Amino acid sequence: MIAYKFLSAGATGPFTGFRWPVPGPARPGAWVEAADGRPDHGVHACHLDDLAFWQGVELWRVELADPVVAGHRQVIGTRGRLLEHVSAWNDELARSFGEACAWRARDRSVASLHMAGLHEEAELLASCRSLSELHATSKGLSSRKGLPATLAAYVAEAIDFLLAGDSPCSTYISARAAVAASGGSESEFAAERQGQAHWLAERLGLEQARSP
Amino acid sequence: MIVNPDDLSCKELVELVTDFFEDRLSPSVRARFEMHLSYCAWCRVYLAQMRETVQLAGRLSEETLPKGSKEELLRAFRDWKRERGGEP
Repeated sequence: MIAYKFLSAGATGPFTGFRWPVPGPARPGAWVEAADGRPDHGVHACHLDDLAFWQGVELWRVELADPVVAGHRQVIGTRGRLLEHVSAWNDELARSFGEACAWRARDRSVASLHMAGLHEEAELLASCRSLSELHATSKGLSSRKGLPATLAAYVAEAIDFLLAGDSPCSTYISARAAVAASGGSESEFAAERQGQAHWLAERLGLEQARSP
Repeated sequence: MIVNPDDLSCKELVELVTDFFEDRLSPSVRARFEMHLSYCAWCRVYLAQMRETVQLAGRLSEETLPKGSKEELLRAFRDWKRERGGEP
């Protein structure tokens, strides 16, 4: 199965510290096997739909050997190898991604405020044309009360983290904003994460996980 | 209990750190644990600090205690227990 895997710098596993054998010019990386055969100790990767849940420094296209089992927002194989570094995923794209998510949070907030009859606040957010303008406007609105303050605070905080260089946290906050904008429906979190993943797949030109 | 299947709070993560180190988390909880780390820089720092603490503490033995420290520690534990209403 072809899937995707985020690693730390230098093709290093973020949780295990394992340094993956990288592909050569015309060959994939060496196969890596799970140490003790336990299914949950296998090689972890994910489908495109779940990319936004696992952001890291480097993104790799990987191959998992059968049998592959489905885990929580991940797929796990007993063996895996790196096929290709997705070099389009870099700091610049991560920043663009975070920015796109902040605008999505803005759009959801605008819709939610209109639904609640809070048209003035909705228009304030809707009229923003730049990230700095959205940042200042959402900061200002967040000092008010009620729904506008809540929704604007999410947008402002997402931009705070983005400006601090923490795109993964920024996109997480944008996904939480989707829950707030829906009135508390937790399913909106996963839905927004999926929407984020689609943005990533499109911008990175990635194909859905499939059998080779 | 983890309320949102896609979301673990920082507090929940802190409570699960020991089980994570000892590889006692169920696969689904471990996935949530690792998912949280992918977006939470504070918990990544906390985990690294805990890992270092465990490694450093693991190197200590009774013989490495400075002179008098053992008695001092035992006294502190006795006082603590007494204050909690236990046997001295």
